[in-house]
Amino acid sequence: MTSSKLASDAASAADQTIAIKKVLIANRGEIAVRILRGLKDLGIRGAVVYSDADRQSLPVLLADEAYGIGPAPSRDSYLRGDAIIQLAREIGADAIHPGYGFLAENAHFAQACQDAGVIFIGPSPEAIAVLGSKVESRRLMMDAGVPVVPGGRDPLPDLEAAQRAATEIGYPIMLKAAAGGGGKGMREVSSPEDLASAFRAARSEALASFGDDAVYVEKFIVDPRHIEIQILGDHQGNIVSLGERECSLQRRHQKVVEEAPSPVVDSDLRRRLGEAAVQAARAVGYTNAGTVEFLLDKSGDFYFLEVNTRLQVEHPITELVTGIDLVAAQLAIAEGKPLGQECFGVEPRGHAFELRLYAEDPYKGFAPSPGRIQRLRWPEGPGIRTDAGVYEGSEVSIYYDPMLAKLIIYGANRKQALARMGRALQELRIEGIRTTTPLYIALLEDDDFCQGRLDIGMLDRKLAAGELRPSDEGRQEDLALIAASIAHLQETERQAANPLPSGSHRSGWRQSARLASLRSTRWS
Amino acid sequence: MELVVTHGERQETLQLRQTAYGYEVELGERRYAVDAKEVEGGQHSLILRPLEANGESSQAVAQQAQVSVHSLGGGQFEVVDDSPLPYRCQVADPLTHLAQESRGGSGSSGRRQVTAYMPGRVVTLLVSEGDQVEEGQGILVLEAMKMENEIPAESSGVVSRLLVECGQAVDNGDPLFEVE
Repeated sequence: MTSSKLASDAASAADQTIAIKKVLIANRGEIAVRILRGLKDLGIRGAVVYSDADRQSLPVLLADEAYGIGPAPSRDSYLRGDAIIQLAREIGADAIHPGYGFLAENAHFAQACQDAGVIFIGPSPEAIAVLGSKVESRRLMMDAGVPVVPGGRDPLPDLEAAQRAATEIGYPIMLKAAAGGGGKGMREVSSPEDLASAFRAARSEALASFGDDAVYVEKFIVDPRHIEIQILGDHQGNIVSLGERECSLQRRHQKVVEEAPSPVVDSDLRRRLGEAAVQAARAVGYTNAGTVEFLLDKSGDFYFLEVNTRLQVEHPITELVTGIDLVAAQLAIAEGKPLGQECFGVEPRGHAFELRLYAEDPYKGFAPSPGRIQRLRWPEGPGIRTDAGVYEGSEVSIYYDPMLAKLIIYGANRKQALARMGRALQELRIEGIRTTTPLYIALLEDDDFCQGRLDIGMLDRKLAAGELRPSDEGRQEDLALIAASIAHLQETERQAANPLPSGSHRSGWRQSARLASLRSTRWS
Repeated sequence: MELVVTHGERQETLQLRQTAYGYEVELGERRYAVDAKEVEGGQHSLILRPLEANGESSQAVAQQAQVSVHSLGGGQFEVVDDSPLPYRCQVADPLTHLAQESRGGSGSSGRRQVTAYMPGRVVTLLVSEGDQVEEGQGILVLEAMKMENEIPAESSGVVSRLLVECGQAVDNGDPLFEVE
């Protein structure tokens, strides 16, 4: 597929403008809620699909229409593309919004929507297919003059070839298995004298892991930042950058905290990143919302990573610093309208953070913590936005992504945003399950985080070193002991008044739920 | 009422007396007037005013916190306030406490039961009853949220009882095994 063919596809759609009246959301959780809210703001009917496990979920409660799509496992429900398209036709939905994950970056699904006459809210199937391939997208970006991590994908026949390639690129370099993935067959080489032994080792490791000893050489970027650019493209051929998001705080390549703007991107670098992202998008005739990801090294050089052809989890921080509703923009583009004036020449205003709240215990190896949310209080007040997929009483199931909600914080500057983050985390209460909240409280006590000294390995390094445990400051141990004693006294009095059947072992939370119901407070 | 309260390394005797306004508490050397009121969602707002040894009210600053108290059974309570991590407190009347001490109940020696901290399914048993295990050694594998999690022994010793079977579904808090 050539870029000119893709561009002409986009242009041919330019004269079609239609009003979308109903959208089927092929997703769940917080993003389904976010899209529903966007639709309501536009006066568009929102329908959702739900699996058996999600019948009582928040999106179903907020939707105008809700349709069961199958059993809990995703492959039997949220991944049933054909059934979802069939449903969209039956209920008269003009468009399908895929959210992120599930079917969002599935070119076949986007094509099937198009074939069925249902608008897929996202880029063209061709763009999704090309950008979904690491090899093809890298080649395309090189052709378009977008900087990529230096190095060749061609296997090195011998040590001499490796030496030539490494000298050309400049040390440090990385040797990678051509058939590889997951870190196997990868060797970092910092100087020429280490190359020979590393080359031998990488080859034998590649052979052992993948049955193929082919390795190639790539520039090793030391402690880079993850910087990504939000783009929008319309069917008239306009493509704009809405500025960057810094997503360097990652745990095992999973984003945890994001912010906009980046503490290190100035307006000149922002302009250059934006131009590169727009170039990348133009190479495939990109339409709708997308994100171009880059690695940024310490010297300020940046390298193309990949394009995410969908609405990103962390899109709200861009919304807060630009004032642009990205879901509304997606709908307008899907209707065939040109980008509004507010999308051009955007400069960030203020500072925003996003904290992803996962149902995981950060101090038990991030073990999943499903269960019933017994108590929930979201933070409120100036600068706080909560995008949640759960409510008090929700059951967090074991079937899906453990992200419960996103806490999004805005301030006039980074300092104010950090202060508000601290206040929000203090107000936040989620009980009944463990979440990653304590980790974020600890981050606020971390100097590197507070000063914006970030790189993509930082969080893993600190966690491995046993750092990022919240301090004991502000602990009120006396008060806790007294509270427990009063509870013990009340429990004893209740048992004396109304002896309970003494069963075998009882689960702690069930026990406390029972006690809560005895107190006949909220759920009785 | 006299109670023995434990939190982590700290263990103290606590005197709890009901008064017109709430409670008067002696916790070790310290004395407090405690006002406890039920607020939203079954939580309690506790206001602690420090008292002088003679029972007069002191000039020290009062503490306030909105807490949830979850009973975990057996005198164990989890107290949640605004601070990042919950407090796991053990409360017992002096006689029960003595009995627990002689059994080595809550101490570091003796038998330790490990419970599931999440609902899931047991997919693999890594040891057998009677095996000698080290602290941190994986005992069984629990599958939850599509992820397999190794549940380790919390102390070294002999696996005295395996309380689950392969393939069994477990709920949060269900006992899994005991190490003695």
